[in-house]
This record gives sequence, structure tokens and C-alpha cells, in this order.
Amino acid sequence: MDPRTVQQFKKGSLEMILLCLIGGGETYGYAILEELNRRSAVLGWAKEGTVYPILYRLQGAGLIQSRVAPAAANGGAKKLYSLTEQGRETLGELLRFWDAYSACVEDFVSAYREKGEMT
Amino acid sequence: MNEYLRQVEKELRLPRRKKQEVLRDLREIFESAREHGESEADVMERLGPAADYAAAVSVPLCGKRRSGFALPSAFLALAAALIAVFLAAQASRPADNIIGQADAMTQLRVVGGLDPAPLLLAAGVLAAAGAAVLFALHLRRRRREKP
Repeated sequence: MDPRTVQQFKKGSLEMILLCLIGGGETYGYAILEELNRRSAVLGWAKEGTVYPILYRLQGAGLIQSRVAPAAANGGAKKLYSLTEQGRETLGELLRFWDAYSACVEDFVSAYREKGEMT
Repeated sequence: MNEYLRQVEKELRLPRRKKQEVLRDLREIFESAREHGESEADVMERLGPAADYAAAVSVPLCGKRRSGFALPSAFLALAAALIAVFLAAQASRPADNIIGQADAMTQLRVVGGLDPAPLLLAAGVLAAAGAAVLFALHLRRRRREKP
């Protein structure tokens, strides 16, 4: 498949995926990358250069917040992200839209498949 | 790593605080990767050229900036209001030689004490000057931050 098509799908869904991930519990940059790479092989490898701009945008929009906490191991610090109240509401709206959207797409896909099977 | 950070810093066209945030996050990226057994070279390869990384993070960070025209515009409005009040006060002021003229109502104006009119004018001029300075500063900052 054309990598640009994958890129388009990724661009549209990554924000929602990140909100879902962060909504699941406080987490930090590297853990987000690992989780993305573990669960979304079809989207290709996640990179900091893709994820951090989205994190900055979500934080700028007031959907996520962060706090810097000292890391237990070596005196370093990790920035922990969590959803804000506004983020939780927005994610709820996004998911409702996503349900309607994917049902609509699925409708077209199954109609095509049925027709394809007949011809 | 330090060289990479320096290059990113050089490429970032952001206010100081946001720049510091990006660099802090980059240090964490390198540190976390090291904890997971990755080398600095691995991370740098994934991050890509410093200029590209700086450009990618700059877009969301500079997008939501205040227009910067709000404060100077407020000063300008204040200046206009003060000068308008001054002019209105001047217009309603009776002429100095009004006493003795038959067709006008005789008025006595007590001269002395603190006349607020010149103060209004002075405040208006100061506010206008403030607005000019703020506009100039804002334009200079915009020119400097343009990539």
C-alpha cells in the first residue's frame, strides 16, 4: 500500500490513540512509544519526532497536563502525562464520533464486499 | 547528545521557556532510551536531523501564541478615550470673556485648584506613547522569531 495512504490514516488517528493511552493512566514519553510500537505494528514504528509534536499540541489545547516527577532509579526526571477534565470530555466526544464514523465506513466496505462476491 | 541538543536549540524559534521545555524533554528521551539499552546513536537516528526535529516540535508550540497586539491595542484605546474626554471638556468650557456679553448666560468659573483637563491630556499622550513602544517591541520580536 502507498505509504502516503498509511500516513494519512495515522495522522488522523494518532491524536485519539494518544488520548486513549494517556486516559488509561498517567504515563511518560518512552512508555507511550513502547506501547504504540507493541500494539500498533500496522501503523509502523512510532518515533519521538511524531509523538512529541502531538503531545505538545494536546497540552497546548488543554486536553492533557504534565508534571515532572523524579525517576526512582537514577535521579533523573520523567514528565508524566494525564488527561485534563476537558481532555476526558473531548475524548468522549471523539469516541462517539469514531463509533459513528467507523460504522459508516464499515457500511460502505461491507456493501462493496457483498457486491464483489456477487460479481 | 549534547551536540544534538545544541543544534536543536539553535534551530528552535520559540520563546525561551518553550525552548527549555523541548530541550528538557529531549534529555529525557535520551535518558529513557539509555535505560532501555539504546545507544545515543540509535536515538539520534530515530529523531532524524536536528533541524527536522526542531521544525516538527515548533509547529504546535508556536501555533497557539497570543497575537501580541492585544496589549498595545488596549493602550491605544485608552489613549483615544483620554484624549476624547479632554477634547469634550475643552469644548464645554465657557469662553474666558463670557461675563458681560448680553446674549449669554453669565457664568463664573473658579480658576485655581487642580484643573484635571491637562492631566487627562498628559495621560492620553503617555498612553499613546506606551502603545507605540509596545507595537514596536512586538514587531521587533516577530521579526526576530521568524525562521
